[in-house]
Amino acid sequence: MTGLEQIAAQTKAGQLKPSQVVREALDKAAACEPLNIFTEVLTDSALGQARDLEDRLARGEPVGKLAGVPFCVKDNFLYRGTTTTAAAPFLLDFTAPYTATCLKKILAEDAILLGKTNLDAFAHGTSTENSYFGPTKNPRDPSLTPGGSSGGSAAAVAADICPFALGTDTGGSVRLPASFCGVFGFKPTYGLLSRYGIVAMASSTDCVSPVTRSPADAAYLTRILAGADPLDGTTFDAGPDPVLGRTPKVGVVKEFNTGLQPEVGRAFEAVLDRIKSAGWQVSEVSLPDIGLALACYYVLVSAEVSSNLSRYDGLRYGARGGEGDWEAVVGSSRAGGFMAENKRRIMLGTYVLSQGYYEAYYQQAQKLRTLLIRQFETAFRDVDALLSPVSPTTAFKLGEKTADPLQMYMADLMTVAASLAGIPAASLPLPVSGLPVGLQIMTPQKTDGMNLRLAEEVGKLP
Amino acid sequence: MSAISRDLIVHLARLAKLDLSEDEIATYQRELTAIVGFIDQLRQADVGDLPPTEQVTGLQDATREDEADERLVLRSEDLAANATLVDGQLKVPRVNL
Repeated sequence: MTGLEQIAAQTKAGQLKPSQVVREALDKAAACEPLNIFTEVLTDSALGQARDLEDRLARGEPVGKLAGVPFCVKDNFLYRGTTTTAAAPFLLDFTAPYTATCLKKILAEDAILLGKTNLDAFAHGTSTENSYFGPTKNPRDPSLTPGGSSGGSAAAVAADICPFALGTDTGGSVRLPASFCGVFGFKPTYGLLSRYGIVAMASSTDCVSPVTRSPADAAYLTRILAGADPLDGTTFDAGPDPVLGRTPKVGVVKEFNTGLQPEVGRAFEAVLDRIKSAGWQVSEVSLPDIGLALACYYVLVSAEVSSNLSRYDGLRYGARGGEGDWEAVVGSSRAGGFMAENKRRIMLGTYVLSQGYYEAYYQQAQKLRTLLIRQFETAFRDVDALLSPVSPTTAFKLGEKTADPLQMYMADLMTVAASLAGIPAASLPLPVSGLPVGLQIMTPQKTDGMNLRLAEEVGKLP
Repeated sequence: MSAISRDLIVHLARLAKLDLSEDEIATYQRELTAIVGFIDQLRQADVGDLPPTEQVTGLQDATREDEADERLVLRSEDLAANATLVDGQLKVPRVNL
């Protein structure tokens, strides 16, 4: 039984009282206030959900697979009737007109929503420092960033406020904070989980991604969340899970086994040693052009961002700035509604899509994306999984990289390739004495179950 | 390679409908020069005749019946929650051509 299953079972058996569990979680959240994890704590709603659940349990009614489990979601998930801010000035007073499919599925299983967590504005960032509400602090060391953009979600689980949280991972935004905070994060195959009701960043790589205490919990959640959604035309129904049935063969990505902070290098070598001792086959695998993945990512994702963020004009919703004609109102609304990083990415995206630059940048990046996908496919013919650290460093200090956008982008050096290929990738916390270090496990598309089982096995190795 | 000129930043800001201050123009010029300098490395990639990837699901023609789906209808009270309506309609500024 997974941890989440256990909480649900104990709730059903009357061993855990939902309102007490929720009250404890809310108290913990309040005690962690200096960490700035939440954009909004939904106290009344959470206690109301707990009471409703208790009433239904008292009447002997059936309850869901996550009965009484407290959780939170990144504040780019829409929840009808409540505020979704995306941590940006534009949406501070935006009331969601509908609920995200993934959130709806979790609530339908009787989990209890504690609140919305902090993020880099519009999910643009690797440290949660681009939030309108200021940064979230790493529960392991509050002078450090928790990573981003799903910093709040990772911190909530790391601080023991709740056993799981949902975030989104577009280029590493759950894997990186999971790595920096010492919790488990999982980016599924693109299209496995519905993006309906998620504030869009880059539509061809955005993935709803869980943050949990264990791979088994992530698997439990992924099974609940997966499924073709008629409201998201990019989703599919997963077929039967491929089972390995033999000792795994893993490949170390050669190009990512260099330039590592010593603590990260040591933790990575140590887990490789444990994997070898367990009898798994470990080889070095080269993906010759993976070093260009970050450049490719920033071209494609900023292009998609510039398109997705063009909807924010202040006319139908969102903060409207200024008076005058259409140009004046839209221009000033957008000037005031976005954080600096949002504007940077919009302009970069506009640049790579504009006449005279489109072929050299955007089309070139689309072709490079094909090349990277093919290099992954070639690699996966020889190995079941590819391993690398999640990031070259451990959590960096607040303010350390804010003056240099390019340095900030580098944190995603090792995570963006899996996003471009749409393959599942996990961030597994390694046993270290210092700051948390995450191991990245990448497997082919539609092998999410296998990926999570491998993560679980690696996590249990002596 | 491509230095990002001030004029280019002004042009991009106009395309993207972003009003920028003089300070912002200077800052973004500096930052985008560095960022574009970094992404320029992908121009050397040997991608030749490879087909561009638009999306990674392999799905095609995800269609539905042309029937009204209640879930996709925005109710006027939801619209009103986020905008000021005049006679039940959105009032927007004039487009000056």
